[in-house]
Amino acid sequence: MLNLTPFILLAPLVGFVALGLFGRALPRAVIAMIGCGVVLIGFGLAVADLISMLGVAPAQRVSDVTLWTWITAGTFHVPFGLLSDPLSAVMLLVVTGVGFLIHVYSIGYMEGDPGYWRFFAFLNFFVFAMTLLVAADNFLFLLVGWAGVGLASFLLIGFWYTRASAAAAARKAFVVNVIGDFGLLIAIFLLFGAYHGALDYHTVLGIGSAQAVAPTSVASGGVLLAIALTLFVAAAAKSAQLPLHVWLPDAMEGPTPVSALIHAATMVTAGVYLVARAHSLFSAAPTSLVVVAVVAGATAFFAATIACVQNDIKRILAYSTMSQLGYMFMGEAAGGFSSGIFHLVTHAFFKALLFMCAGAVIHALGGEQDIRKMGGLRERLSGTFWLFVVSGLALAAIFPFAGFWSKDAILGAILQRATTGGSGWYALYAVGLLTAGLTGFYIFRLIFVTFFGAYRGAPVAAAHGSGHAADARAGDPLAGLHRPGLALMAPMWVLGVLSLVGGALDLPGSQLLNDFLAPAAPSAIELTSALFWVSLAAGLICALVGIAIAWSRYGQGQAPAGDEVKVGALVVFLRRRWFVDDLYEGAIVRPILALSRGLRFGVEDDTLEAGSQGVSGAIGSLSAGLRGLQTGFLRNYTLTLFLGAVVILVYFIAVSQ
Amino acid sequence: MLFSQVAFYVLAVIAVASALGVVLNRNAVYSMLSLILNLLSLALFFLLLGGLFIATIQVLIYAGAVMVLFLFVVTMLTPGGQAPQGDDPLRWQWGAGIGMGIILVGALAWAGFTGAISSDAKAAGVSSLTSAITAFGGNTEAFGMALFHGYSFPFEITGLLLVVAALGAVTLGRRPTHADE
Amino acid sequence: MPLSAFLTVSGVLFAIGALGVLVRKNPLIMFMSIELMLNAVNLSFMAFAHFLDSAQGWIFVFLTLTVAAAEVVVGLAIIVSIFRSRTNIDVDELNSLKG
Repeated sequence: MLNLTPFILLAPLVGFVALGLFGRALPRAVIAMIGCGVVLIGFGLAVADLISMLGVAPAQRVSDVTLWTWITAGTFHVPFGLLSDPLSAVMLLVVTGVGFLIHVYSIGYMEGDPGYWRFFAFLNFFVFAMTLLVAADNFLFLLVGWAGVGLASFLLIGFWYTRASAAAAARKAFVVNVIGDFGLLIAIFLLFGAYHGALDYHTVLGIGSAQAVAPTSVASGGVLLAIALTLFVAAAAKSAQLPLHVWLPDAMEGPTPVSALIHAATMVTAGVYLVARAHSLFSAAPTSLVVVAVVAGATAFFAATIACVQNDIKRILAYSTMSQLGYMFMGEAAGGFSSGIFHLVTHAFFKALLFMCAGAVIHALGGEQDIRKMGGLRERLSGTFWLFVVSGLALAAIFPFAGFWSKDAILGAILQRATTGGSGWYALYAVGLLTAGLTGFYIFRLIFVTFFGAYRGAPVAAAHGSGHAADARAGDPLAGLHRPGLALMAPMWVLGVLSLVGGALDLPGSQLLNDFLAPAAPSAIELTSALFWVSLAAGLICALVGIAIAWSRYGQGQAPAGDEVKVGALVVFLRRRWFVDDLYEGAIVRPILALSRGLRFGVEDDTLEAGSQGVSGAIGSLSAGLRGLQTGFLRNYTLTLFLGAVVILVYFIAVSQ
Repeated sequence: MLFSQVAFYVLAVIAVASALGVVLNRNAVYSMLSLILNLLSLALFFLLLGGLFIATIQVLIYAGAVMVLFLFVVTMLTPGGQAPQGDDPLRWQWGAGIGMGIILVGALAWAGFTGAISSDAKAAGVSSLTSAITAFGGNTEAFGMALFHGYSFPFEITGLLLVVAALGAVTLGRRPTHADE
Repeated sequence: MPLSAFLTVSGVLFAIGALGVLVRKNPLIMFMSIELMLNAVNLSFMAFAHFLDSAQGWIFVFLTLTVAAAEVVVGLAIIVSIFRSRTNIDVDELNSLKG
């Protein structure tokens, strides 16, 4: 079986280095070719790996390549090793495939930006780091990739670094990410202790070896729970779950391709990948799965409610991402690890597409992101409109789009768990259904407000001689609309098709993906047929109800309530994002600032500075005092001499007694 | 025996009194004369202790040459013969000096009377003097034999010291000439 | 007379000489007090030479005498050169080393 992972890793790295060093001097076409080309090469190699993997029996679909040894200290041995197995193959295909499409999209979107070369360099670096993350074969190497994608996120969110809000958002993302890194580090320490220095997946997770070391045999229940929970802290920080979600909405300060790639399709899914990869550790501590389920369910619901009142097109999608990630974790917590991965794949398709469409709208309107200032774009941007509808239906999980099958797999897993697990899981199922309804509502609210009715915004400025034809009719506010070009539309069409047919990966009958992932990520037990149809129908009905409500309120293109209209307490609560930000401000930010101020003025200024100045002052006054001995009078000096002589004499006489 | 005791006490009184006279006199010339008296009384002490040669040397060199030198300088540097009076900024030195002097004398006396000093010295083991005097037929001869047989090196060094002192005195005593300015 | 008597006299003379150095302002009288101290030491050396029956005491006295003479020479030369151009000979005036 082939393991081309080193080359998949190498290609974007070469791209990053080449663009980083020479990009400034290269022409745009060359930059675009290098940037997209390396990712395409990676994708091709990932496909080759997959094909070779399909050619062998399921039990042998594991291949490990060690590049070189990183750390050797006694018996502690950490290699730079790359693993190729079904789970990593799926992740690599998503990363490189969707990544390639977004690279092509960026050619058109970032046109005219002075940092063009820098953008593609950073994107390549991100692909490199993400590949490292999913292909690492031990936890320490995983941490390297984990931190690398955090860095890439920081660089790309703050891409337009001259904007203060972008820089602040990048910092915020990095700080919250580091909390996750810390959790992962603690988990690694605990694993190190439990497994006596072994950190590789073979030993810890039993991948590819016939004799897997059962987690319960090396560590007590408490330790296993701690490991699983700290791993989940890392996953929650990276995947923006409660309460470490605060960075994701602000991350929308970055360019739209960044939002599409990093904050929808790939980086935020690293947490889902981690839980799936370490599923044996989580299953060995069942309480941890309950915690994951609760947090994920809460996040899914919380994010969906807030998305209903947002007015920035990208923020709606950001909260939607948060909510869908919650779904993925819910599925994994219920035991359906492969269903979580399935939803990850379909989510990558339709969420990336949603972001791309939003980007196309923003680009067309010259930078406008507030949906209250949009409307009536259905005829002018018809291609974008239909793609928006397709991806929206996929997100809302309507038959037969891709999201329907994956969300149903998750809800089915939860329901199945509920039949054996108890009432808590039924409550979680209800939350899942309710959130599905909210999902349908907010995404179609977005679509109706943006595309239906009359245009409510300011006149769009014409493009600077870029060749977009301006409408001859005077007084048309949309005269300067920049229709998206081929570079933008082509990837969107590809993703549109995938959003439509992507469900074929794991239809209830064929279970292709489930079976493929089975060695790496187990799936939930199959539902009995009665419950199966109930679950299928329930999800669909909730989503349709949500869409219907959206149609009734916004279907004629009414604008959402503006700031001047008095709104009810519920809306205020949602608009303030459940006051979580205020909670952070009061509970964490203010005390830390107060502590810093206290340390600066109280400890440093008053105590340390004064202390050191006190010491120097004391020495100064001591020397001033001693200087008094130097009177300049000869007779004083002789007195001192005489005094010394007398003292010595008396001493010797006394001693000789 | 009695004569030496009486002589000791008398000489002791004279020595102390003249010493006080040196220190307490306002007039520098009177101090100097007191010092000469002190030196002479010490020479008599030396005689009492059997050091004929040293006593002679004391009178000749100390009371003679050194004090004459002092006399020259004193008369050169005290026009009017009166030391100028002013406010003494260091009045407390009197008290400090007297206090320390008492301590010093007390310690020495105590050490002397309890025999610590003499017993230590006796334990060091020194060569006999009286035998040397009889052997060499006289005080001076004994002294000469001791000096040139055991201490010729210090003797030579002392000679060098005297030369340096003379040179130094000449240099310091010169009036500044135009070449030095 | 016992040795200690001579030593007591010597100590008293030494103390008086020290007192003179500390208390008097006239440099010449200070110098004379130093001579007094040296002589007191000479006396104690002679006493030891007599009571310990050793010529070493005499040697020391001799050397002390010689060195004292040399010291007087140089010291007076210094005093003369310092106070040559002053009307007022007062040691307290030499206080430019005041720190």
